[in-house]
Amino acid sequence: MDKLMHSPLLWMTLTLVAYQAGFWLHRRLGEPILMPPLLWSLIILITVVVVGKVDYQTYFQANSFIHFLLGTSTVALAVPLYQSLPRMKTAAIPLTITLIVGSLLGAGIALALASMAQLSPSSVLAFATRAVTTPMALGIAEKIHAPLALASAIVIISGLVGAIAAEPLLKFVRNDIAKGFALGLAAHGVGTARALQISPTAGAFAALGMSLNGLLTALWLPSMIRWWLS
Amino acid sequence: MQAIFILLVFQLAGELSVQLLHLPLSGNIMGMVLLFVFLLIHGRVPESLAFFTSKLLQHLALYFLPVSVGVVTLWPLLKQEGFQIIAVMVISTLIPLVLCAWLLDKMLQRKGW
Repeated sequence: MDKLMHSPLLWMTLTLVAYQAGFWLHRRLGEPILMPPLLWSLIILITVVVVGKVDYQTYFQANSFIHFLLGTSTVALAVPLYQSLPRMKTAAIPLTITLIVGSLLGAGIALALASMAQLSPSSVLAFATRAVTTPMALGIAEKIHAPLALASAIVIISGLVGAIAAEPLLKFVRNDIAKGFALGLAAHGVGTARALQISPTAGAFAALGMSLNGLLTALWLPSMIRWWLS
Repeated sequence: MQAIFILLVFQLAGELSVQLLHLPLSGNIMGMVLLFVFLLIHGRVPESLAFFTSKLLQHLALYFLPVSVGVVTLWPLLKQEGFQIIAVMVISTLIPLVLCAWLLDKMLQRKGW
């Protein structure tokens, strides 16, 4: 029994069941926009972990294979990126301008608001990486000595916020390219998953926005933080 | 099988190049960049890779679950600064989201899209 409590068999199955149950619940409840499947899956998992007094490290380690696929998927994003290349070229200038605005705003607003709200210095730092996809955010957070768990939670939850708000807030946007690109920029991985549901075009441009934003932000943010702290 | 092989080789290549060259990027993003360059040189996406990737990316949300559950470890902090953290998180996500979508939409509209 004790062996089972530490086994991938139990905890990976739980994650998969929660993932499926999220979709099932979402459908049963009439597909409410403000409660996407991922949120249900999370609620189920967190409830089990908290109520069952499961050690998070145990849960995480048992799920390391699923977590590993996050990295493989990041690599795989090169494929939709490549496939969107012809369209990317025809709109290169608008995309570049939006990317620069998005990268600066994404980190800038988060940092400014966090210091205005008088959060503790380490919480402020954790906000610096808000706009960047999780694996990259953790890479940057390490470089600027921000608390990793908080940084990753902020990235994921703000991704959820963006994904949830996409439908009501982006109604006025006509072009799927603009919807997708903005989702990738502002809500990274979760936003990309959401954009893929809108249309393949939106998904491809979300992947583009997410990866370009990650790259660009990784280049300017660490030196900016060093300057800001000095 | 070929597709899994390609993805893992590039994931490994990304990780190796980041560690050996001390790049400021994460290995996975570097792997993506390398695969992208490979596709540019190759000139097309191998069929099995295109098929496998679309299947893999369909469930992107699943791969976020293990990390996301980590919020349970932040409970003490959330009790202290939770409200401010959530407020900052929501506002700083929505402003860039709406602004970027609006900006790009307007610029594309000008081009007649």
